[in-house]
Amino acid sequence: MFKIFHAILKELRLLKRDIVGFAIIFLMPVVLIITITSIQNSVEEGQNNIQLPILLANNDDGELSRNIISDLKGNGNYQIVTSFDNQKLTEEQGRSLIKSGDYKILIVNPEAFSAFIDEQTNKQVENLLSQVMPSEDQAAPIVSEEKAKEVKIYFDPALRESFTSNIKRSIEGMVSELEKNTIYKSFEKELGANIDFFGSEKLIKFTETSINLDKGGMKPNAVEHNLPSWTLFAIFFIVIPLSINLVKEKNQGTYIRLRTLPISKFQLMMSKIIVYLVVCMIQFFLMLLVAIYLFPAMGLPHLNIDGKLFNMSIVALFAGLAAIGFGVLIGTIAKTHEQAAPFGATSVVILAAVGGLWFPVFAMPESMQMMAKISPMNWGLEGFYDVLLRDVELLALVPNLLLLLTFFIINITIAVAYEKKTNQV
Amino acid sequence: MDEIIEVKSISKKYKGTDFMALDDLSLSVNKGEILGLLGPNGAGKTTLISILTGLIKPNKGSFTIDGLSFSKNANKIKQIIGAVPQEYALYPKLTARENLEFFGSMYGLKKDELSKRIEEGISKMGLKKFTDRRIDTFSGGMKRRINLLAGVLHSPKVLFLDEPTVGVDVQSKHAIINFLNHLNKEGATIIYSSHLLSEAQSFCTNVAIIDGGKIKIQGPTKEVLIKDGKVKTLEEIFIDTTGKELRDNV
Repeated sequence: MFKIFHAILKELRLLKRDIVGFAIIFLMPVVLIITITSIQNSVEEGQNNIQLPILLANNDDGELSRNIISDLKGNGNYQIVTSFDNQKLTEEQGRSLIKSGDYKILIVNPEAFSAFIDEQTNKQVENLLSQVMPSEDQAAPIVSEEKAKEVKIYFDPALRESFTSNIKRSIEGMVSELEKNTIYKSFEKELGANIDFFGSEKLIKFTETSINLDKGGMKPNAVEHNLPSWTLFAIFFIVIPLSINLVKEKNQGTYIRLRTLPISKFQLMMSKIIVYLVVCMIQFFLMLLVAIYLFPAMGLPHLNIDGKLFNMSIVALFAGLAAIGFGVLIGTIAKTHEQAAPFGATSVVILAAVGGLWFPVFAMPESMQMMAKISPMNWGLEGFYDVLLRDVELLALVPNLLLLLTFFIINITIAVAYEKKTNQV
Repeated sequence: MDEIIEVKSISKKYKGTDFMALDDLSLSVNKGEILGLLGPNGAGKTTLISILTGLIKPNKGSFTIDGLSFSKNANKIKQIIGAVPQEYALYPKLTARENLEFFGSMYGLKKDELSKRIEEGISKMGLKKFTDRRIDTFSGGMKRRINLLAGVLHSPKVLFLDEPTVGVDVQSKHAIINFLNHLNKEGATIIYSSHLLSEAQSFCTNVAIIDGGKIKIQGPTKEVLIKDGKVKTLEEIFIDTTGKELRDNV
């Protein structure tokens, strides 16, 4: 223990003197979590508060178009622009404004749009009613075979597809509702009665409920989603300073002296593992402190970890072991600092992406979903989500913890075997 | 005199090479000797020191240090030997004291004893006012002296030195040689590898000239220097033994 204690002391001193490494380990993850959570939270809140300007080139003065404009304006999410330079906006002007990047969306209502919809709807209803209630003196109306009128929507190409799809769906939903109302009115007109179709209420309602509400849990917020991701990202970023530490030791000649000392490789390895595990835990608690105390002061959502701290710490500990194992392996195989640093950084970013830290795993292609299942960051992420969002017991965490431990053991074993082989000169 | 190192028929061939780095080499070193291990580049000096300090294993043969075989008593042997590599085997970001504290503690030296030895050693090396300065601020000569101290804090019975004075100024060289002579007088056996033949001639009690993985000449320095009834310099003996052919291909 005496020798391990002094080896630990040496590692701590080296770490303390490495300012860049220190920044990578502690400062960067804090900056990351503050920045990303602030942005994500503002985007989520902004979906309700910010009005997106939409250009509308309206070529139809009918009731349906007026209703579309009225509904879009009433929606609250959109600011409808129908004129430009005190002139009614044309499709050409609108396209030019989209192309210049001044506006993001242009909707073009075709000419006689309302009249066309009215006419088509009336004909369809009359046709339907004539089949249900045939009249001798009335011939069945001829249904026009004119194709559907085209409402054009132009998007700024810089907009992400997911964003444009959302807006398109929202507008289509609104138009569909208006179409439905037109059909009802047509029925009323044909039947000569005032019918209240289902009243103004919708028949189906959707209610979003957190799975843990019955246990007093809250709906997850941006902090609860971000904390596990960025904590894991920070923990795995120790791969860089750890691998560089090992490479430096090899290249400085100290490695040769260490091998002549009466201390086993296991003891030397243990000292590094202990130091970097402590670093991982400090990172974890630092992130927690930021989320609990700094975020509310910044107006960000509060993190509730009541009764969850122990289980979260266990997940962090095992994730730390997995990261250390990976760092030791890279540091053992890499021959130079130039090999270790970029490879370490890139592999951590890939592991994070594959592990679902930034994009949900279910939304990935099947092959990537398979990769996620063998990603240590995904095991860690699921572990944190289990504790923080699903409120599971410690026993339910065991499978993911075992996977993280196995990853650590495999990496250390490969590193030891590789080192043994390379020393057999 | 008692033998402290006995090497029996050691051979070593590195993977991927077609020559023997050490070829059935046998050697014995008595207690208290300062043995100069001399030879051209690729002769096998560093390979022999690496084997004796446990860094690499021989393909054939065996050796004992203080009667202990390495295969059975690796840790015991590591406790009684000191190794000073040619590279600066120090942590540049740590101070001289922190480096020495770490390496000394690895030999099991406890706080008070370790501090005493560090102070003594640093004083003898003339580095007292630099004790708490980081190694990366040291000159080459200062690093060499700390590099040596790190290998001798535990008062080893046998000290292996791989070119301990290479690239240092005359003052540092004197300080190092004086310190080594002091250690030798206190009982340490020294195995010293170098290309500096004049230094070896004055410093070593015994020399062994190696070439092609074999020992060509071994004996007390004074005896080795006498050839054909004449006293020669070590450099003349060296050239007579190993030839003038350049060894750039090894």
